[in-house]
Amino acid sequence: MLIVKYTKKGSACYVSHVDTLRTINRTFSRADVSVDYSEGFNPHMLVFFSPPNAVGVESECEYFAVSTKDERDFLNRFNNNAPQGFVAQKMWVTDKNPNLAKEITRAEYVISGCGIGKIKVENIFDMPEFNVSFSDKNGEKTKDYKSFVLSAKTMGDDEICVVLKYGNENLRPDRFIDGLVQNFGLGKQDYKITKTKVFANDVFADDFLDNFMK
Amino acid sequence: MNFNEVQKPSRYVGGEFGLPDMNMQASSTFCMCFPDTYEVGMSNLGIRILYYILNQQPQLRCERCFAPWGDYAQYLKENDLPLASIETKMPLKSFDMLGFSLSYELAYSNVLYMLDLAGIPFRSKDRDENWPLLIAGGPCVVNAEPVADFFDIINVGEGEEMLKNIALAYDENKGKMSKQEFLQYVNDNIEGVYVPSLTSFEQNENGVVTKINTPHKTKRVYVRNMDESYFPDKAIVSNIELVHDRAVAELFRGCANGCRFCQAGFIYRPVRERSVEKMTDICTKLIANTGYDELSLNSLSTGDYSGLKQLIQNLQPLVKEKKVRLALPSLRLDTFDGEFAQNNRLSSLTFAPEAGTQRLRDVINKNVTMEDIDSSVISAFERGFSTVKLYFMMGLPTETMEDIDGICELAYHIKDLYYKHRKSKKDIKINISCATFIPKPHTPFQWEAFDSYENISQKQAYMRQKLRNRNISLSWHDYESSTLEAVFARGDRRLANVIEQAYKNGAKFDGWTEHFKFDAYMQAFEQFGLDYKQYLRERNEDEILPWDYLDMGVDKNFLLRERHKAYQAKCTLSCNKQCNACGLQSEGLCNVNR
Repeated sequence: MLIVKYTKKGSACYVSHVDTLRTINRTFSRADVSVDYSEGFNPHMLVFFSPPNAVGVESECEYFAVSTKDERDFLNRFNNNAPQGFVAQKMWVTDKNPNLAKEITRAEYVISGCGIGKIKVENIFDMPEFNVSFSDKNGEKTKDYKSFVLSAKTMGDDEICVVLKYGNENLRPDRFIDGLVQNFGLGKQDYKITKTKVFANDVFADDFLDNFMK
Repeated sequence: MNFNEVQKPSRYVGGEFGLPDMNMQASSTFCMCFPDTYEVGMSNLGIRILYYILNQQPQLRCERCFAPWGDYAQYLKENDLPLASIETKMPLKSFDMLGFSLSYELAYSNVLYMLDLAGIPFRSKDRDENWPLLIAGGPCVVNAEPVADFFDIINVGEGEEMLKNIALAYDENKGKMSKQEFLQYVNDNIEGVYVPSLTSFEQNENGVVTKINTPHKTKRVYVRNMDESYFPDKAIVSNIELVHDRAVAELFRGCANGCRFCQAGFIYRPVRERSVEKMTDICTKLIANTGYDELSLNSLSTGDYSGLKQLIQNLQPLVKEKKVRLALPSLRLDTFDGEFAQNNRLSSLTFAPEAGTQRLRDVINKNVTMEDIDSSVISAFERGFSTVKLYFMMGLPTETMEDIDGICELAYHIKDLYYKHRKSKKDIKINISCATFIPKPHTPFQWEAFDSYENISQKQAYMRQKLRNRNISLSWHDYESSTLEAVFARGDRRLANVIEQAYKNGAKFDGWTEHFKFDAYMQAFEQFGLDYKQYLRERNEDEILPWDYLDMGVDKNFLLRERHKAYQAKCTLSCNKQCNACGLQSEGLCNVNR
């Protein structure tokens, strides 16, 4: 089993989770990595991913685990065969599956855009509720997301950094921004969102994986 | 750019694996445009081939652009952004050349939609040297008259050499010739080129062409040696799922069967195969370079490929080690191989008897017998298949209610065969899809009438009544969109006004049921005082047809002979069995003559 950390930037950030699975599988095929397959009528590659990233959010911290022993020069082979924006950074070799989809529960986002640092995002923790209205396929809804915001700090006039629940319990960063627009009078504009780190509870995922090896 | 409000942004941002180097210095630029969505256009094999051929020329840079979905078009309009290419985001109007692939008639309005979003005038006569040169290619150009006024150059035939030569000639003469001089130059020097502005038509009050004024007949060009012609052993691998999301290798061009309704069977003659060795090499490299887990062996009738068994044998390492699934589209009933279907984990099977009775199958020269149908479906059922899809047409020449009844009886017959031969415990599912026959240029049925709404409705009602069965489902194409396709297929230049007006009335994505607006066209016809039914009528055999300036290599007399044989329900054998003297035999490329 090989665990790989990779980035998804530029055009790659628009590739949805389902499309990412297929894209990574094809990258393995092109790189001629011999991956183990599942049994059954339609065998598929045994690849396991960290929780889905929201479409349009650039990420510096995606992970997958792949069942293979073919680890020779893996990062180069992967990067030479991946579409633009998918870049493998680091890898761990292990004999067990860390179950990334379950273990990773938080994500740190850096959000930048004109004036976003001026709203005192830290005040979110003094509010009784952090209600966000949104519409999905079932219609209009309002939900209190206060417990989904784990930390928030101002990084300057035009940048903030937040840690949000991620994975099975998830607050999408674009919905968090909608909440800031609705609760803090933040102006509507195109904010740039980058996912910078993910965590297994409060442990940085890289450290979690280092420990997992031991 | 913010794509949060746009569905599937990957359609517009590029960055796919397999892109050629776009930073190379090129003296001329070409944008390959496809008037439908990214997922449809990226599945098109012709575009894949031409894209790589143009990018291999050091003087040229070729990029791509597809019709944006409504949400993105709105975004472009609201932000006053012109439609641009995917690769370098260069506005279409800044390119030297734009090539449009015309694959189906119902995409015509989308050509205008793309030009409109790009800020480019629609008509060739309104564009001088400062605008890109507009070139059309693809199967519809065998009668592109309805859109001829929009294009500067139309490429008739297989584009590999022709398009490259036009683009290189453009590059060489850029700044030295006026647009008019250049059009005259390619018209005189490059085979397969049709310049609409150099040809004019005289028509009588009923719209019948009385004279075509043209400098010379345009001769269709085609590749003579498939092994020597370029075929890409790579592909741009999309990050989103395409309509046909797989590697595609082309076994051969042309089709030997000569089904009389089928345009492809006549406009791609003669049959030219690639060798098994070449195919094995192409397929192996395609899979290695793309990483696809499905490989389609394409042609007009894949079961007719002389080396099919050997090729499938040669590809077994891919199937076993790389878990590649082989797809054989367009298998005829007489060449179906149940073992292959089973080995390749197919879940349902599609057969195309096209007509319900042997008499009508003989009229259309389908050359498929009841025995072929029985043996194919039995072989499928014995291997555990329980779902069959059957394609038929209605509105065929000489058709009566007896033939429609034949479709229903065939369905029940197949159901009975299932319960006699089945291996599966499931109930059978028969899906019948019934298209309306559309007479197409360059076929023996190019003179036929398009069936009336009253007739088709009556036939559909009869089938619905008769096929009320829980194992059988019935679907058909919408009559109005088939009507429009029939109008365009045999249309003339007067339709340019109609298409332009219909676009202004809101027509776009006509091939998409949810977007199709027949009224937009009806109003446009009315506005220009044209009766669309004029285009649906039977043509006289001695009438000049709007596409008669084309020399497709197939004699008009051969088409007439075939038409007359159809009326006697007489079959013509496959070109693989005997030469039927269609006109192309003198080229020395047909199997039977060798």
